Amino acid sequence: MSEYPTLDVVKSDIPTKGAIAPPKRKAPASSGPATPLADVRTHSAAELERDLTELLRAARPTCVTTEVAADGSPKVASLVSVWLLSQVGNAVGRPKLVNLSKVRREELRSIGGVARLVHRTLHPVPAVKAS
Amino acid sequence: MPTVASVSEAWVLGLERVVAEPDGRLVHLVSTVTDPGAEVAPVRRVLDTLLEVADKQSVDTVAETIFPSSLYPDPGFDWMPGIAPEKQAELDTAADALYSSYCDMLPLLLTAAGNNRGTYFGRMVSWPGKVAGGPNQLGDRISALRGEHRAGRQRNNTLDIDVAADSQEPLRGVQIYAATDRRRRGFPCLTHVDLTLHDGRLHCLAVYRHQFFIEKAYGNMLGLSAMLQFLCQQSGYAPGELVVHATMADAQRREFPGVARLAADARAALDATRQAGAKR
Repeated sequence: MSEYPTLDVVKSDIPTKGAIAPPKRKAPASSGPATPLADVRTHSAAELERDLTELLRAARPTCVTTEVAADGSPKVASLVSVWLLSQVGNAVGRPKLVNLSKVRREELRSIGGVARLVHRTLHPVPAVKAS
Repeated sequence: MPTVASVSEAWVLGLERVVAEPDGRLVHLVSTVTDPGAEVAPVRRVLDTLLEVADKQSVDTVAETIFPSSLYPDPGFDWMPGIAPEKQAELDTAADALYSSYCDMLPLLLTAAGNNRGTYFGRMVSWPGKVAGGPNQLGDRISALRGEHRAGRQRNNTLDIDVAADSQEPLRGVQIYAATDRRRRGFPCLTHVDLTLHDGRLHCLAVYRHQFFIEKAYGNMLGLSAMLQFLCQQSGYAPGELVVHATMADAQRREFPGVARLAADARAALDATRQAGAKR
């Protein structure tokens, strides 16, 4: 036993991050795209942001927070951003969609950041040749 | 170090001790937390603010390198002997979702700086952690613990320290480090996780060979707490103590010259919380 006057703290001091299992749902009746990532190659960054938000809401509803990042889109944990990137990578047949060691940290802090990163990766701007 | 209730207190006490060393390094710093996962929010805010300014990983991000809580669809109830088959299936499905989500991401995760040799959680769920399909140490421990619980056992010291480290024998501690590893720095700093069942509580001890006390220690303790809570939920045992043994604790003075200020701010945040609690 310790004589150190330790605090009578409770875990609820910090909100839990563990996701609660999503409710079981029936398959959607609509005839829309089978996955929010179906048109990921042709979508704009803004459309990608909607796609990724929809994907996250469906697959990991508690990971979509009400907190907003500096870019105005929902904040997400870095690991959730990596999960989103891996889902896009699987959808386009590139499991290593990006090299994470070259990705700026703030891009992984919001869904908007991930969407812009995905768009930039799928639509690289060709380098301008010097004449 | 004194035994304390929360991760935050353990970190503040350890930090003060390490900062007081002439070279900012200390051998054999042992921290004990009796309520793993409990935190003092203002202390974490002090650290997270500094980490953000320094463009380092947040506490949560570091914690998720040990246990990726955001990938776990927590069913919200515990396993117990005699549990209804559908409830057990729900727990198993949640655990499988965690393992498979993580393993799906492994090719991408390995592109992150410092991850080319694998990740901690990858090593826990698919040894040696670079591709899916390896031995799942956490899954094996859950099966073993459930077996103990079904048999009515409240003690088990066969989940013991694994020194050989390359063996694949069941019922050992969670293996993070390979005996063939000749690296002297870098991953893995966490070399071993030991699990001990005593009086119906599951205790955890983690050994770090070199622990960065500013960037990693807090998140490390939080991630280990989450891992322990996961094992307890999946096996029906109560969480016991979390002990972290840093064989070398490092105040990272070169990267964080203001570390003494950080220790003072964290202490002030802790004391203010304590005083506010005393006034209640």
